[in-house]
Amino acid sequence: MSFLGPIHFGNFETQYNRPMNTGVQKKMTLILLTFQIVIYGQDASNMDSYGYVCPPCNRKCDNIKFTEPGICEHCNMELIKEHELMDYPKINRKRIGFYLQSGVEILDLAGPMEVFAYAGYEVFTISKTKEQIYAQGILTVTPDYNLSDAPEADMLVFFGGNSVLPSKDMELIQWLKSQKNTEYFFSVCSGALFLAEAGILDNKKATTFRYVLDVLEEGYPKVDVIRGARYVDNGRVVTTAGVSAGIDGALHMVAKLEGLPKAAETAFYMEYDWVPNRGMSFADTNPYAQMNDFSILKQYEGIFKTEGESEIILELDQSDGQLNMVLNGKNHPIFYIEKDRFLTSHASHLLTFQRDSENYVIEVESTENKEVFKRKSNEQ
Amino acid sequence: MKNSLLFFLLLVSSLVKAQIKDTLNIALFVYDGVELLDFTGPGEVFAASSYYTNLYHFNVYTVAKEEQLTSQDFLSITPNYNLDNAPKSDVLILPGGNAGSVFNDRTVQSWIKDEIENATNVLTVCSGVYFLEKPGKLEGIKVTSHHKIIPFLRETLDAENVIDDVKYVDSGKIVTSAGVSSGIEGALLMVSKIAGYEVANRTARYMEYPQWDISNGRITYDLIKNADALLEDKEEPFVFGTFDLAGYKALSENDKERAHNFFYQNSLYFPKSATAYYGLAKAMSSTIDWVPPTYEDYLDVLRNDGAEKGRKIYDKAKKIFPDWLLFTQKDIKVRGSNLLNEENIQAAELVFSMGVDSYPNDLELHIQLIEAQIRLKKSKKAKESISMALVHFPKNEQLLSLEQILNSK
Repeated sequence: MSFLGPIHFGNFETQYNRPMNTGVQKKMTLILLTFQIVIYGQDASNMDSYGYVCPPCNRKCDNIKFTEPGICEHCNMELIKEHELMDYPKINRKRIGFYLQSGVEILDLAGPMEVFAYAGYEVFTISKTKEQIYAQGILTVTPDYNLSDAPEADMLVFFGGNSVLPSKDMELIQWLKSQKNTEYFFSVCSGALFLAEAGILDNKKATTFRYVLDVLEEGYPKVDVIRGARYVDNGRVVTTAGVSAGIDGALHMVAKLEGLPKAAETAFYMEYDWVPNRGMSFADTNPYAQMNDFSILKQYEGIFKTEGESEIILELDQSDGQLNMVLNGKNHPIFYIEKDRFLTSHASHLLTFQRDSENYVIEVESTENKEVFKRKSNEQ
Repeated sequence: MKNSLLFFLLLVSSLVKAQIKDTLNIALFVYDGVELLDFTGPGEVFAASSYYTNLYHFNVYTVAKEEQLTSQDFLSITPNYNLDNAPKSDVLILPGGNAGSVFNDRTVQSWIKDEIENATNVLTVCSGVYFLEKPGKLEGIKVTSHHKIIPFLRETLDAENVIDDVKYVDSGKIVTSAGVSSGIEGALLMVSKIAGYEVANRTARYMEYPQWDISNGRITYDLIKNADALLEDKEEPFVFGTFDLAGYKALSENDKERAHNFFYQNSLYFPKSATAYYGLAKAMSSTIDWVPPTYEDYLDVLRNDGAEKGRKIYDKAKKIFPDWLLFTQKDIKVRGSNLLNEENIQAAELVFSMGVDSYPNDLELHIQLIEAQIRLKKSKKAKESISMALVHFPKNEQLLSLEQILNSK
């Protein structure tokens, strides 16, 4: 049967009837450039006259100019004057090469590209020749490089969609084997076949699109095929399940390389319902190590209220070490990102907690409604 | 039974009037600086779901004013059409992104205005909602957008018309989705509205997108009332999803009789759609002793229990419900071809023979059946199959040459 279960329509009209008051009128500093242009009818070329930027953080917000001082809503850093940028060291952005074959599945490549671009990486596209690629027959893409002129990449990424024949292309596989300075290999969907053919998955655990699991297992006996995982991390080699699982895999890569906070902010920006740590990892490093740490999560349990009637209850499920937000009797998991910051399971909104001088958690604010919920004092 | 027969007769006349299109044009409007996932998400959804509906072919393409553009700083895209040569769209998709100058471009504005008038459905993603402003389509409907844009929308629109906390808002012709990845949900809802709920669910499963849940968005009108009104006014052309979604909505309210009627209407209007019977099976499952399996369950039977068992269920279903479709055309072809690849020709022959029985107007199925029979050296049966096929496809050269080969042996 379907994993969506039987018809679970619920009530069409009122699913997210949250107790929180949603009347947000707080004026925001500029985030989406597009947006200000619409509102104030300004031309993009005027943007240069604005004087504030966020300190280099290797994220997309590095390219945004702000009109007034304040906090960057993307990276939470205090904005600086543009000329002060010179005082900061230049950031060495990771370079990620996307290999595209004709017929590549569009979401396979678009999901991770969206994630990596927002997280501040430099992404370029490579193909066998530089001729145009038809992605899934609907999108015409011009690759940046071919096999002979592609620069070395820190990470190489392969995608599904018509990948069986191209993965047997010996010229491509030789090229892939020769990329000795590439630190990470990442595949989405049946893109795993490229890595398998080049021997990169030998004696490693790997996954792929569910209809290709058998092909991978039968075709490459040295690969230990894992079923039912959204992604599998071996350290330097990460493979993901089908199509949209590439988004989870890419967010995992960002968490792994840049830390969980950056991955969470990326998911929030994309409004992607992200459940961190949903894959399988055999790597030495674990960006989610503290996510289910009972002693940390316990500090946030309690009832938080606005001055009005809105209320948030945070409750720790002792059986699985999951902190839940209880709304109308239903548990909504929230995920620990870093000290005093959590991710909600709805559109990856961020919760920020404040403490008093005695290091006791006293209030929480959500990006969902910008209201401050104060902890009920009798909880203390 | 008598009642439904009467209904059938009433409907036959309206069938002629209903203008049901086979191919629907799905236009992705793109521009320099367009947010990549905003338009590729819906693009993927429509391209993939085109496989799961046997009612429509979704012709998905990109349209832009520019000849060449870059999305997300890195992806260099050549659009399929420009504003002058693009076909008229049935579904228009307006993605967000760094769109400042595009919003203010008069040529783009007038193209979008015309397209909105012509299209049957419009989907906006993220800041793409602002494309609705100049054509005057933003006022008076309920909308949503990216969380950063919601406060700005509230400044210019009636506060109660701007909805946050949802993945999409369906206001009828226009569906607005929230930020970036929410376009996937908005597009899956659109597919439900056009090709049916189960087609959207299958697409989400194919995409391994477990986040899809239709109730994470908001539909601002009454689906059931809408479908009821459609039944009374038979002049109105409509798409499969209208009755289908209303049927599932009725099911969720435990109104099985109404749900049954909606699915039944679809089975009359769209006699080639197994999807209608999928709903019927759900609606009838608790009211009568035996209901044929849904097409998904039936595929499982063919895969796990074998073609023999499948044939038994097929015969039983045909005996009780002569018109019932147990599988889609595409599913049965794929199953049969896979059996051929596994060298299980006998089972493949069984599968293809059921396929031909259910879809006698599908030449490919006829030929697959005949070829399986030739491989099994059943020349007498193969000859019979050819004569059967020739009834539907008289003087077809492929069939005639197969006949010649058989006769020469």
